[in-house]
Amino acid sequence: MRPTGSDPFEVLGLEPRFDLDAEELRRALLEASRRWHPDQWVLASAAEQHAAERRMSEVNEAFARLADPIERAAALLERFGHPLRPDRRPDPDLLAEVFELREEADEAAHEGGERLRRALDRIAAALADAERALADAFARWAAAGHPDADVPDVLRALDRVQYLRRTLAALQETRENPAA
Amino acid sequence: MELPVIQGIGRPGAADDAPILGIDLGTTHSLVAVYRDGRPEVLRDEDGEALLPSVVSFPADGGAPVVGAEARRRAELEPERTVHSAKRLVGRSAADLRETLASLPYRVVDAEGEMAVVDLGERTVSPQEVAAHVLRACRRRAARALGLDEAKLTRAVVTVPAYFDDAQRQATRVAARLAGLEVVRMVNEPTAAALAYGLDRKGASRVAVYDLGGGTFDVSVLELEDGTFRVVATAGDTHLGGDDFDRAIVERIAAEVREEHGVDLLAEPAARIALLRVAEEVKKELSRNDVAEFRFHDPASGLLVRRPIGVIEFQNWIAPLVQRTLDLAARALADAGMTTSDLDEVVLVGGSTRVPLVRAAVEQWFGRVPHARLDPDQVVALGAAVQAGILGGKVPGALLLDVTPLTLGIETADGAVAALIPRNSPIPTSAGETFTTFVDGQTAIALTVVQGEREMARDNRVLGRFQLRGLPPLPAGLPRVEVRFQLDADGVLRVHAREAHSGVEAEITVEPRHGLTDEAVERMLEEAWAHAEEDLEARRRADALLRLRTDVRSVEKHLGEARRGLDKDALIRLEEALEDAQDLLEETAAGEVPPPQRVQGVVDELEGAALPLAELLMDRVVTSAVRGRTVEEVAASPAPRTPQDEGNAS
Repeated sequence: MRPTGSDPFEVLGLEPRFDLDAEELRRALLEASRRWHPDQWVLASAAEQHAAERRMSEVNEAFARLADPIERAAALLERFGHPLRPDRRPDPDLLAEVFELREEADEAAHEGGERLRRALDRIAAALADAERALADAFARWAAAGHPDADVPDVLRALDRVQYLRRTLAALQETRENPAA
Repeated sequence: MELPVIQGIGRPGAADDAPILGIDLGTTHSLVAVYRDGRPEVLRDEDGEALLPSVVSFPADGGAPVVGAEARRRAELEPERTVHSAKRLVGRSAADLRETLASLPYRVVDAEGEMAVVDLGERTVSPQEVAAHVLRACRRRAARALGLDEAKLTRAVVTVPAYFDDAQRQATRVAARLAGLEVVRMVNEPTAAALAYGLDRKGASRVAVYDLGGGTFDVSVLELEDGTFRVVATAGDTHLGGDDFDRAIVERIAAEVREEHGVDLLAEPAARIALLRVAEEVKKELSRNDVAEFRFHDPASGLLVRRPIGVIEFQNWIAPLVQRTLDLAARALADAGMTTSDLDEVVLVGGSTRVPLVRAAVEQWFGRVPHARLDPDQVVALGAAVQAGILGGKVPGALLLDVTPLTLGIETADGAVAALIPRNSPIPTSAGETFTTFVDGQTAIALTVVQGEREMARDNRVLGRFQLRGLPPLPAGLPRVEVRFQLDADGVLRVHAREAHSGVEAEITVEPRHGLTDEAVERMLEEAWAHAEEDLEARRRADALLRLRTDVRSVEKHLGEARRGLDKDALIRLEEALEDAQDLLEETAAGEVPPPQRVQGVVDELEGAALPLAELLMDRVVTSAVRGRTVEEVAASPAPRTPQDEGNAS
């Protein structure tokens, strides 16, 4: 995980929540850019230029983090006092499930063709489900006032999205470069 | 710290005094434009010419370098001292350039720091110096066109291919500095093109910019909204362009001639340049007509090549090159998370988009007729001028949000790349990642900064290496080294590393791997100013003499044939002209300095008198595309010389 700079929600002036609308996020980026982009400060003093550049960097970094559901989840957890620990253990059931999926995916990759396509579709569908579940977990957590007790639920949902995403990416790569 | 949003408070008046120049520093030609009276405008020379060939010739006599069209003319005179396509060398090592070098008539070697420089024999010239001469010529042209003192024009927006990496961008900045210009912003060429097109657009739209220049290809996807230009994704190839079309023609013709006549047209650098020039004309002709004739007289063998080329044939030769551009377009769209149907417009940039096959392929692939309202050669310069206008506060409400085209990362212990800033991230930006040690008690960690899209670090470009020393000796995996990347709005990187427990820190601005140290740049700056204005008369005389020498050698070589084949009057005229020329060369060798007009007169007379001889030689050996006919013609012509004889004689 990245060491976090400033809180990305704060940098972009957004309310900290998981179900951010892409359009809303884009608007926030444009607004912040109009204010902080170095091109708006070319005629200003060197110190101001430097400060603007730094602010704009933060804005772009914040946008990149919030645009990605996993990073957005990490930012939210950190904001409410639960920064992701690099040494956390995922749920054993999840690992078992992923292991099975991976085996199946490897076979499908080996066989290719229709079977590979079906495997891709299935994992993509599972990922979409997992992403919805993650959004729900965050919604419940927020509705309850971000209690510590709900954090394991959120983490489990987050790990699931992360693992499924990796499996899908690996499989897609196999399809694009079958030789590799 | 809260900053006022009002602009122009730091350096009041800076904008009004002199405009910021918008410069398209191109591989084959460059342009300079400014933003005035509410619109961008390309500045022309006295002859009304907008394109300045990006060619610099360094005369053997040590005279001042010649830039532009005149340098281009000198390419056949002193091919090994006339540098074109220097942009391809910028920020590269000779090893990087193996493919390119084969097609260059001048010699390229690695200087210190493994950066490519042009070897002129008595000295070397860096690509930055070459670019600086071109930039200075742009600046001079702007001063003249605007009626301003050149010294006032000190700031410029310079465009670079989106695919330029850190070293190439830094090298471009150095070139500008050598030319007395501060680069206030570097803009990616396709982005500049969108700026040129986008000003009058209302509402939101998504645009793909397809930019096929002489030497490089870029494709970008942008979102335009309320005056904001956001580059969403970009892809490209720094070694793909219209020059490759010319080369495809030349290689094909050369192969045919080699097979049919055993003659290597490409043996002489000067001939190669001339062949490429012919190929370029053929290519242009094929944009207007279905057939064009490739016609070339090879001075070394006396061979006259005449080869009609059909447009479909030509299209087959370049089809693989065009396909590569479409593959890259597909990648840019995929990165943008779009399909062709999401696009509102496709914009064509670069002279090579005039090739009908390119247009047709783009239209078919994108499924819409591309926009080509502006001159494709001028679009980028116009966009640079728009950005200059924006930076100067002359275009209220407009803002360009650009992205970095290449992924930036750190090499990990197993040789892979940990990506910190993925390609197509908006800039300026920052990013961080935590690393740890690999061995127990390790007290230093080496960090290698890489740029590129390959998975293994060794396959990417290394931007710099640095070490974080003095870590507390802890068990492996325990130290937490936080690495932060800071990428500025021009795409130049700074890296900072800090160990969390001990607070040990290290920081570098990525080493300017463009091969010039700061001292070298300073020295070149001094030399540049010491250089007197070019002595035009001396230049003309030297050029004419050089040409005369070439002509004399050529006539002397074929004098025997002239005596056998020319009629009496023609022969007498030729022999007299040759004698005059030889006399003049002897005089000069003895130290006399003839006025250039006289030298030119002798050159003109000799070339006129040699025309019948040239015709005679051409009639001897004729080749054409239709092989059967060729054989007959060659057989019928009297006393055909074989290339081997020619080789022995010369």
